[in-house]
Amino acid sequence: MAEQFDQPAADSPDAPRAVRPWVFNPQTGAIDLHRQPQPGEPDPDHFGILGLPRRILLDADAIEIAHRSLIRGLHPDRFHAQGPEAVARAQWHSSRVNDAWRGLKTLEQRAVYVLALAGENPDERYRPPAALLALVMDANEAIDEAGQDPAACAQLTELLGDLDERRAALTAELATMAAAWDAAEASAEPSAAAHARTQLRATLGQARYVDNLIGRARAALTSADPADSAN
Amino acid sequence: MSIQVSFGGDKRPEKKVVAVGIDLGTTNSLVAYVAADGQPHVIAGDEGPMVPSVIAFDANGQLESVGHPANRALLTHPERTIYSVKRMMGRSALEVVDELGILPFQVHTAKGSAAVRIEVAGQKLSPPELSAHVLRELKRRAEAHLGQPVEKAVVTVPAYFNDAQRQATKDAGRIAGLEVLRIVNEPTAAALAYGLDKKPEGKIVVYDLGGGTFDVSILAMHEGLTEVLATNGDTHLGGDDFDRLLVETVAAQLAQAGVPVAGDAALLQRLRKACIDLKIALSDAHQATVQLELSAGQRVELAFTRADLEALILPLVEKTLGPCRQALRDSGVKLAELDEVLLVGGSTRIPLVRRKVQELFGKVPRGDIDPDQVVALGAAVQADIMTTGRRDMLLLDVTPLSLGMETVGDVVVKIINRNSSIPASATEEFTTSVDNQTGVVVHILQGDRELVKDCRSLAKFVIPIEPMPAGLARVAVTFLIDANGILHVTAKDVRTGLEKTIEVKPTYGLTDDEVVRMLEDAFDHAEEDLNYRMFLDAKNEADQILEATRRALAGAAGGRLDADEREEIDGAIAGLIAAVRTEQSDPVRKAQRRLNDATWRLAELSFAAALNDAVHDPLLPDVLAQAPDPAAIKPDHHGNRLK
Repeated sequence: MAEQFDQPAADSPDAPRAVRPWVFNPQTGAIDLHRQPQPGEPDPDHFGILGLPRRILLDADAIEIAHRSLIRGLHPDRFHAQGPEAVARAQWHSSRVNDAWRGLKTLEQRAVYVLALAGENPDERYRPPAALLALVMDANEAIDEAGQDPAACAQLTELLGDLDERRAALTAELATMAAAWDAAEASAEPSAAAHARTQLRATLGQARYVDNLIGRARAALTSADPADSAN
Repeated sequence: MSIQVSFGGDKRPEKKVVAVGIDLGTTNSLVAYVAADGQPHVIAGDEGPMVPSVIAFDANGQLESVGHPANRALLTHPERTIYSVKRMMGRSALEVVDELGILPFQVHTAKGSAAVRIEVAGQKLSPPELSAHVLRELKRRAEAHLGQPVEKAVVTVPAYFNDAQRQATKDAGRIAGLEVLRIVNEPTAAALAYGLDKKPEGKIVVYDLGGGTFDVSILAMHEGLTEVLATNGDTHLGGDDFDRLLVETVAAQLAQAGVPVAGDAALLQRLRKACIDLKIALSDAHQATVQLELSAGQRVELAFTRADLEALILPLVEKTLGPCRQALRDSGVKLAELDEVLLVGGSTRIPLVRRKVQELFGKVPRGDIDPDQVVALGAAVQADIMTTGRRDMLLLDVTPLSLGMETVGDVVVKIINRNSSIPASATEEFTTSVDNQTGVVVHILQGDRELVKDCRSLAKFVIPIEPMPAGLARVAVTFLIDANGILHVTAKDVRTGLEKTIEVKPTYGLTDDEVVRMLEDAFDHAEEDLNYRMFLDAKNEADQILEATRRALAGAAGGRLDADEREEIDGAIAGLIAAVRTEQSDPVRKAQRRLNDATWRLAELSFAAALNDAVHDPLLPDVLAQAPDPAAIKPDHHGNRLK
């Protein structure tokens, strides 16, 4: 089963160096259900478990392929014939593979994870900057009135457009900051990486704030017009 | 050429480990296996492939029958007959009381937990114990068909089953003497039966409306890897609800006509059966009538049109559409990306259901594999995957409900979100808030709501901690949901690295001790099971002897028997066939001996004929030297088998 593992494809010119997933024994190069951290080796993070380079900008297909090929080899169903101990070990390893995959699926998840690895709390409460304040206040007012006032509904629909636009801009900003962090991390420049994290944290905070507002606006519009919920 | 005179089993089936697939349903259960040709087959009994999930007890509380006979017992002594056990699996007495309108059982709360016990004929039984009777029946059916012991099974559950319901199902298997290799979600099993995993890529919806539950799953296929993307459903919606509506409607009509049904358990059961017949007939016909016997000699005719039925059940059918939309949203799959919509469960035979599914997904749904059998067939495929290694396939399921932990203010913090691929795990670190605190209480819940009261309690446990100043202790607790969707908890002292044992007390399930006790109870049936095994062995031999005798009678030797000899053999054959029907080993052995005695001369004649052929075969000049001593072909002293 171990032989069936395919290394994630990495053929584009600036493709990061493929890393061996953690469960592979460094000496034998085969899947090792008994794999233990080597002396001085830290516990693997999500990137290490999947054999992905530690980057925020990663190809979605590469992540999928890494997950699929690992889970094919490690799923406990594959170890039934080898007895309960092997099944339990496979259970443990495959759960970590699934957890890592679940935690790295989107760019924003990877950004949050990178912050968490640095001990920074991405869930920190964030207040919107002045630029967003007017939009937020208008939206909150329209959300409150959407239930009774059709005019507020129309205004909210318009504001929702502005919010979506703002969210798209934040997504683009995050990609730029992610690239900055990836570069700093790759060239081992701790202060540049820390700076990129500060920016990522601020922008992620804004993105969450806007997401929350969009969610509430959609819910208000839906409950004002139940027929809309079919979509 | 060979000298074929042996009447006994030279071709006994090869004894190898066999794992079967079991669909343990609310109303009916099935067992299937993958044959040597690699195809899954459902094992049918005398009354068809289904085993009604019904268990009847006698007045002394002894098991009387399971399956079809128990279904008939529902009409004669409904008070000692249990059905719909699946609806009570892993549930509290309180929840089951909500079902009492439909389920006329006496329920109790188990000692020291919230789990339910059902009173029948003076005993209080847990749902897993009751389900184990159905599983044992299926096991026995598979053993009779395969002629060998069956000890392993893949058992299916609705995708939306929670941890307690899955654990209860696994416990039932254990009590029935089956190692449950894997608990598989029913919609996922159905996809395996369709063989869609062979497609290189594809997105599939499985719409599963059974007797008691509704499930919908969105799956992605990638070259042998079946990945569940999202699942949703309603553990309380199915064909039984359609039946109930129909029964209520007819009962109201009867009451108006001066025939009160309520309070007459036997009449209610006859009415229920009539309504089910009506519902089934209306899937093919636009109108149907059935006879209902009110009392001896007094009958009424119930007439319904399909439109009547559809008007009645429309709100229930529409209740399935919300979960479908939610599952689609959770999966991130767009309608246009869907390749197939599969129908599972008997209730998908209803034309209204098919119409609604087609409207929602914009695709003609497929139901070409019998929707009642497709889940069992898929379970057999999974059992084959896990035991033979001849299929390079893998099923990657998800957990249907989020796992959370109680925190300050009765709020639940999520630790593993719903629709996460399993196995999945999460590790949380705990510390103490008071000096010399010796433990931290953890309350684990399952569900997607914010407050403790809206989620389902799975278990409570105490993490043991050495007394030390507040905040110094650090314990990492790992929650692991295994491939079956069942939770495991382990704890580790972060400073010392030592594992800590945690005793997890399930809120609704059975403790390990209880399962062990029930296993011991099952040993009371061990003798019965052993007798049955002995019968199976005898039956296999009888089948082979009968076949060999028939072959010999049809050959040249058969023609040389005189009328008396022939009559004696025919009588012995009839006797053996009759003995097999008793399902007892002793009569079969006796009848075998009689047939052996009767065929003594036939064996001699056959041997002589074979020898004659051999002598005249120019290719085998020295066959005489190799021929066995004629005495060796005579029945041995006990007459069990000809060598």
